[in-house]
Amino acid sequence: MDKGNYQKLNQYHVIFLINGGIAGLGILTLPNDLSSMGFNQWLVPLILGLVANLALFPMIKLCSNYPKNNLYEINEKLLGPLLGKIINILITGYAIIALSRVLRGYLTLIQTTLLPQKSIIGPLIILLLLSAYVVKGGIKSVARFAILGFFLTAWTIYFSQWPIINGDVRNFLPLFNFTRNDFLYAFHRGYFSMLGYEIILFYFPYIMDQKRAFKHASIGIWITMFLYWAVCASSVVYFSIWQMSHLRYPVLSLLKSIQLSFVERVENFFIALWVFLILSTACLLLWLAQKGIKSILKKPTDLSLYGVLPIIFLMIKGPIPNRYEVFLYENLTIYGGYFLNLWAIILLFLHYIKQTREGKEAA
Amino acid sequence: MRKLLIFILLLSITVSSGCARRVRGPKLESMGLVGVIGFDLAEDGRTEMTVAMPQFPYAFEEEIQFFSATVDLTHEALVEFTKKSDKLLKYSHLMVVLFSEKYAREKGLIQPILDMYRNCDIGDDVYIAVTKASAKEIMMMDLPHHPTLVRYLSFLLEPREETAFNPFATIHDFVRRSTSNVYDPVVPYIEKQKDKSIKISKIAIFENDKMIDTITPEEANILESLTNRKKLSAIKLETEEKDDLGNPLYVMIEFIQSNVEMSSNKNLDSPKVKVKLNFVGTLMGYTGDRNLDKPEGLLALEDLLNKNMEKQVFDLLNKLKKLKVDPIGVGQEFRMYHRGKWNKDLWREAIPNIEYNIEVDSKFLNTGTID
Repeated sequence: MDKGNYQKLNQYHVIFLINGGIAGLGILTLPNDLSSMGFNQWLVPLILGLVANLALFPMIKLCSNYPKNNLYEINEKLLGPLLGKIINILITGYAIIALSRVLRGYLTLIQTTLLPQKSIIGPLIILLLLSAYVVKGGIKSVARFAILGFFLTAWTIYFSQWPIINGDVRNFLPLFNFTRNDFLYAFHRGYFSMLGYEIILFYFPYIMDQKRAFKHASIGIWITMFLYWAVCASSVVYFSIWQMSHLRYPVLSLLKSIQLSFVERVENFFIALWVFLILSTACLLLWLAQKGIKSILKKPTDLSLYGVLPIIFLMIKGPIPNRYEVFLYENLTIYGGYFLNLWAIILLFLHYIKQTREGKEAA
Repeated sequence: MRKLLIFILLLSITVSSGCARRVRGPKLESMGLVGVIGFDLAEDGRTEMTVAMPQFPYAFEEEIQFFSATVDLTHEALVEFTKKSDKLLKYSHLMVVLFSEKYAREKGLIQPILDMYRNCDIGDDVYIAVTKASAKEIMMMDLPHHPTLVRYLSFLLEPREETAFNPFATIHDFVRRSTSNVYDPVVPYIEKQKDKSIKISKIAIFENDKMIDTITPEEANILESLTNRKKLSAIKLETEEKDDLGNPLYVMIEFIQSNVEMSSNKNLDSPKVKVKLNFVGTLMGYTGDRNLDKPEGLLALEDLLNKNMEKQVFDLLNKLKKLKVDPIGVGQEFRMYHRGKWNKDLWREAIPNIEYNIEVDSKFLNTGTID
């Protein structure tokens, strides 16, 4: 339909790409990550949303200055070919690690709850092949899949009435009863749940309405933050503080409270439904990784997509020692996210410096 | 040519999968689905676990198979029983867990309950009850007039309006209350009756996870109304008035809807709590001779009722104060306004000092279908 048309993402694609990139693995463990705040943890998604919105601003500003280039090309333009390539390799590495973390986290959950005796190789291969299939269709296909995933899973919010009715609403008070350290710790652990919006740096050239991209991306962020807030509020009402800090998958326990007259134990169904959210995040990150490899090798080849898949498979199933795994998955992904957010600001400075220098030379 | 190759590849994969040697998953008939688990205290202080498994198909004389073993860890039992049974034991259909009173008082319930909470097979809404005799005795008793054990126990302990005095404790409720920094758990207490049935005779009060006392169902009804349960079971009240023969007058109220408002003075050093209990019900029985046609008669009866209920609420709250437990959650009214760290010990120290100011307001909707 829009073959040959470079700019193909309309506003709904942008909104749900942001949403699909953010909502994924983080939401399953969110109340546990924020448990240092105790009963005030519902404040944290709102603050995370605010920070994400603020961090989005320099990104959009940077991209508006280079409307036809994604971040890989901007890197090379501003930093020169060699340094730019090194940064691009680092960013591609971050995308691969983040992708492995998302898939591995979800498959661990599946193995714990639904399929205790089976190995995760089968589901892993299927998820990887599915992601590759979606990514083969380009960024528009990823966006459409994110829209599909959102509508297939967002109605779960209807079931939050069970935890709220069976819980104690008085848990919300006292407000703002936490120390600064509690808050910073919860923010750091919850930050991973918020990552995913910075990928707009890479698909910005494809957006049709670039002038209103900031508004659309903000809508996407706040839709996701509303869902996160609803999950945190339900868990504050339903659980005790001990439960929130010790349950590894609080959303699973929230779903266990649902009692329907025609079926028991629906939480297994919803955990399986979650795969759509995981896949939309995984597809977006896979798209990012293959774009990175294409820009490093400068040769358009199919291998950029299919070559990433074995790497991810080996990272998840491969023999990495345990303490490196923790460092790789828990720390590197968050630091990579911090880096990308700050990187936009640094590049913006470099851009202004370059502009003034060119202005002086022309004058 | 490429399409042909892909087709041949897929066909060979499909056909050759039959040659694979794989472990077959169990059929439903070969699974032993445990319905009830009972925990007793063995002589050497270890746990004796008994499980009840309904049999499918009903080709056996006994419909329920029992296994019993003395174990140190809860999940050790599964291994022990699998050695004796021809079926694969699964906990996914667990409905009820019973603990003997001795076990609840001496050992505490938190360890086995957390073991079950940890297991993904076991749902969060499994009912808990404390038994007077050993749990094994209750599970193995002969029930000629009732459905099979699993069905009987699960329907007995299920939420019903007539048994609204039952706190309907599930595993999630128990974990939440015993790990909470305000609440204490409350669990139904069942006893074997002479007519070969099981009765919820009392409600057990816990401190953290150990049982300390029991209260009667009438007191438990009031307890549930104070925890803001909206629909209560029927209340039979003995009024102070006496009739001509010297027997006390009784009033019976049914279809009660209750509402409680609690407020505190927010001061932990000298805590004061104001409790306002409203309830609306239908008058179903009265052994006096007041004329209830006129509104004055009903109002006078309502006043009598209020005084009686206030005394009952006061007695119950005093009893809980002496036991230093808080199953109602009065502590929430203080925790909501407390800045800084709050823990359960802080609250427990303050419980005996609470001064209650109780007000009951009752209303009769009607007197049934006749006057």
